[in-house]
Amino acid sequence: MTDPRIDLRNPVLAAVLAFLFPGAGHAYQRRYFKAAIYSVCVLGIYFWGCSLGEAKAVHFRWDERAEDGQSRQRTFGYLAQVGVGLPALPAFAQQIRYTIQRESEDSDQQPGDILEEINSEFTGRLNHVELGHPEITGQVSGVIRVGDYGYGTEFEGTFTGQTADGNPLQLALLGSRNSGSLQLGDRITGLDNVTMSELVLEQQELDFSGDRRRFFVRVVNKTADLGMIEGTIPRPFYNHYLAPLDDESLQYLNGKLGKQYELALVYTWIAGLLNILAVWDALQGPAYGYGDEEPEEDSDEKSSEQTESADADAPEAATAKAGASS
Amino acid sequence: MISSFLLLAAAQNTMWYVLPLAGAISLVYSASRYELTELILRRAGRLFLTITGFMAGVFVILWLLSANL
Repeated sequence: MTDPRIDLRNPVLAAVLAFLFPGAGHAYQRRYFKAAIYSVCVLGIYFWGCSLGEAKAVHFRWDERAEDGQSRQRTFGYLAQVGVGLPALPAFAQQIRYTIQRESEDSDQQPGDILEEINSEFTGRLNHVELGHPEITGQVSGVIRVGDYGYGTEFEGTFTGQTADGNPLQLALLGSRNSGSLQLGDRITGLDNVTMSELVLEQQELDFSGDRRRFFVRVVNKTADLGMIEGTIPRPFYNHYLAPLDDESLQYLNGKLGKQYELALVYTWIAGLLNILAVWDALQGPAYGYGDEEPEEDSDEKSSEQTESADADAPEAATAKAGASS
Repeated sequence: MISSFLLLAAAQNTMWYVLPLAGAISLVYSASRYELTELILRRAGRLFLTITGFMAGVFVILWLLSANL
């Protein structure tokens, strides 16, 4: 029985609020000191963990089966992280979107497919050779537009921009999706390999990015292959924030951050688990009572055990005694 | 011996991360047990010392056991 001095108001609503945002349920119950403790401790630990993991520690992936060349990933740790509530819940939605994307690729789409028309800023490199014109090789930036041509697997597009030394440039893009002449990074992913593999030396370090998406397309003129353009286009925030990671990205993160990434996971796990205590406190009140109960000499065994548990040093002992008393 | 100290120093860098974690665990656990502010803080302090003391003890034991390795 909850102490009558504690006004839990609507306990179910308070528990839901406490889950969604640590401390919110207790603020609703006007237990402001506890609200401060829960929000500062839980969110502090959670966001510190996110920072240690460079915002990639919280993600959810639940594969029903292994994909080609990849292990079946099931991030059980997210089941602890989700205890933090709203800050971690987007990962659940991203998992659903990620799965839909993968299933559409597996069923009737081809790798490098255009799932939507692309019209965005582009930075990268160009290797362009055209008869009768000087060779252009190097950094370019501009706007790239690619869309379905309307017939089978063909696509068309344009690149309008300039070279590094300011010369304007306009290219026509045309090709077939099945021929590998267009390669795009995943539309939804937390981290992606955006290494420009076609135009760089073999010794270059791998480059990963969450907010950039790899884009490779061959530059053609009717049937003549005139070169290639390779770089990155922006990936919107909602397509990479807390989105699932593939094996390669996880290996990259572990290699780059080492123990720091494991610390990030532990911090976010513990933050989520701690908030479960807060949710229960909002729903049922404090486990051992108000804290100022007087010992009753002539009471039954139950009361004396409760008093002893309040004086116990170790929480484990207190937990055991409270369990026995109930 | 020098390599042993280097390993110890490297381990200590990581171990500092346990302090805020233990502090947060102590505060949240104690807050979920009692309602009185003073009691929450007192119990949290005691739990924090218990956790860090236990971990320091384990650390020292492991360090001594690995001294000649």
